[in-house]
Amino acid sequence: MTAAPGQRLEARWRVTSAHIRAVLLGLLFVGAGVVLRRPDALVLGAPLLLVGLWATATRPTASPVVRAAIAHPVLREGQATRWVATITPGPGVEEAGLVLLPTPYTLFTPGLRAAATAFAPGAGAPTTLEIICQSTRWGLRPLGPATVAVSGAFGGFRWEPQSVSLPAIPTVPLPDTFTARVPVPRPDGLVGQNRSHHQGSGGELDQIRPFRFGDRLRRVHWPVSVRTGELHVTATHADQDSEILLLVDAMNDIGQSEGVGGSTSSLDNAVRAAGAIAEHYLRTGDRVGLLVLGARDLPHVKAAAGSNHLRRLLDLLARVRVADGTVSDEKRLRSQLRHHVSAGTLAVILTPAISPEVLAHAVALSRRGISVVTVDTLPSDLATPDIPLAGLAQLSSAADDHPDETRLAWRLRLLERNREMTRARQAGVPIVPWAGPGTLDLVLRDLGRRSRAPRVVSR
Amino acid sequence: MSRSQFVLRGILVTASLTLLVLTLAASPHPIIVAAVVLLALTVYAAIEPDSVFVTVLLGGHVLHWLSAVPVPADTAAWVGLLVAAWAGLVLHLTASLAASLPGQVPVPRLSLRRWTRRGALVAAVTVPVWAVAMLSGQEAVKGEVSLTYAAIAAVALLTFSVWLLSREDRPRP
Repeated sequence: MTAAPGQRLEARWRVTSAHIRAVLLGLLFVGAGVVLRRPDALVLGAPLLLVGLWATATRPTASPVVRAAIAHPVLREGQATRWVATITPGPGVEEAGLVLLPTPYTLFTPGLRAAATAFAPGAGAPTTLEIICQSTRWGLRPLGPATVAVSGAFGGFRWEPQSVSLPAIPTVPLPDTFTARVPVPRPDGLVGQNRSHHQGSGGELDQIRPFRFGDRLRRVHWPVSVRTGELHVTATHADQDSEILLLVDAMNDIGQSEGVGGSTSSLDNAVRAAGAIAEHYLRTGDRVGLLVLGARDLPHVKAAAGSNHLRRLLDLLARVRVADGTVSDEKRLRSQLRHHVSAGTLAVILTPAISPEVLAHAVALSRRGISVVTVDTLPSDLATPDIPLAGLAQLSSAADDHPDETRLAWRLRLLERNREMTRARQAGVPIVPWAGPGTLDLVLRDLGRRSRAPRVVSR
Repeated sequence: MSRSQFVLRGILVTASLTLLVLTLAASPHPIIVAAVVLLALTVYAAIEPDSVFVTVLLGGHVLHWLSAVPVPADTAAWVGLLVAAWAGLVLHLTASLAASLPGQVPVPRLSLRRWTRRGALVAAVTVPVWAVAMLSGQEAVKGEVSLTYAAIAAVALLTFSVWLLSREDRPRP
């Protein structure tokens, strides 16, 4: 028989307060009855003493084998897993219970996060106690800690390890549906599906031109050749891959997140949109990189292609945490904004545009000749100046005490934000709200036209 | 909290109240203060069956009985004593079972059957003890001092053996 997977729990059998009560009071009253010649004390103490003696005589002699595990190593938003305790009871073991502490953004079945079982006499087969945990939001999800307890006859002895904390389960974002029909402006790779400006082997017609030495015979366009009396060939645009750099602004998380199906915060929108864009472009053969601005301990993922890279990106997105707003976060942001961007890269910046540095960075990239698209991830219900009191509470902890001041401050911030976004647009950075499929189509078409026009860039 | 846990705690409260009512009914001079304290402890014990207050409650009930109720003289008083002993047993068992399992989940049927069967067995074994005590009490035998000392020695021996058996496991090298 193979051992059940998971972490083996260690503990010792301990006497419970119930057993101490039975033995102590039983002996005390039986003794008092004898000494004081009170037969009623003897009768009142006798059942307690009997219970105590019974529990002592049938006490468990060996520790049970208890293993704790979580069924899945990684989840997607909305997916469920099981917190499983596998118990192999020894002699004298009669009951077992499992209780999980609540975890944010997790739905439990049963809803009270507890399970219990009773072992038949002589049962030695492993029994599992399990609680189903559904993660409703991306992020590292620590399920538990849990309490596992096994008890003997009359609850006299209990085997209870310390709180069991298993490693947190990463919940990768469930990418929004996203498609883009317009190709990336400047494909500059090797093999892909985007039409490049260069001629080469591809599917989209560029022109029909006279035959030159080196042209393949299968490219000869016979109708034109017959009509003109001179060999002509069809020339096509080369299909190449391109590099996409996703910049996720984690300096602020505006709004309230209720998980999958509920209201979303700005960071929810950014992370899910980044997952969707990455998934789309990686499936079309492009290379995607990721940089989370303001996040601690998250490396810059270099652009690469393939399904394994998608897993890597989603795993990194699951570890995104909003910055604390400290001075070190500001310093980290400034150092992160000095990252390298290759020529021809399409930079997609996902930001609620609350940090002016991020918009300024988008403008700087655009001035360097990089194609930049900014996706506004601020929830639409918060982008209006007259938000209700419940919405104000999502912006500031002082909103309950000073609602008017908070509303005024938010209106001022929105005015500044609008001004910064207008300046960014005037500087050539398109800003679009996240709207799922087709979000980037219009701006990519404009960027494609603009990239074909001559212009001056600052290096 | 699960329904079966509610029922368990309800039985705990009922047993405690039964014990209290029996004590007050059998007592020529009821101690009202003790009754009020025991009532408050009953509520607390129903909320926290794993706490030390259950021990205090059960000990308080028996002390209340011993201090307020004289040694039973007639058969009705002896029957009342037996019911009181059973009520104390039920109080202890319901608190122990409620503390053995998480409060949120229903108590497994197997556990309910097992605890009920064992509780009934202990209650049945209590009856001979009660009968012997009643007979010896009704005969009004003063007893001999040497026999009393022998009984004390037996209880001490019993205490020592229970202590030996109850010791926690020590890790073996």
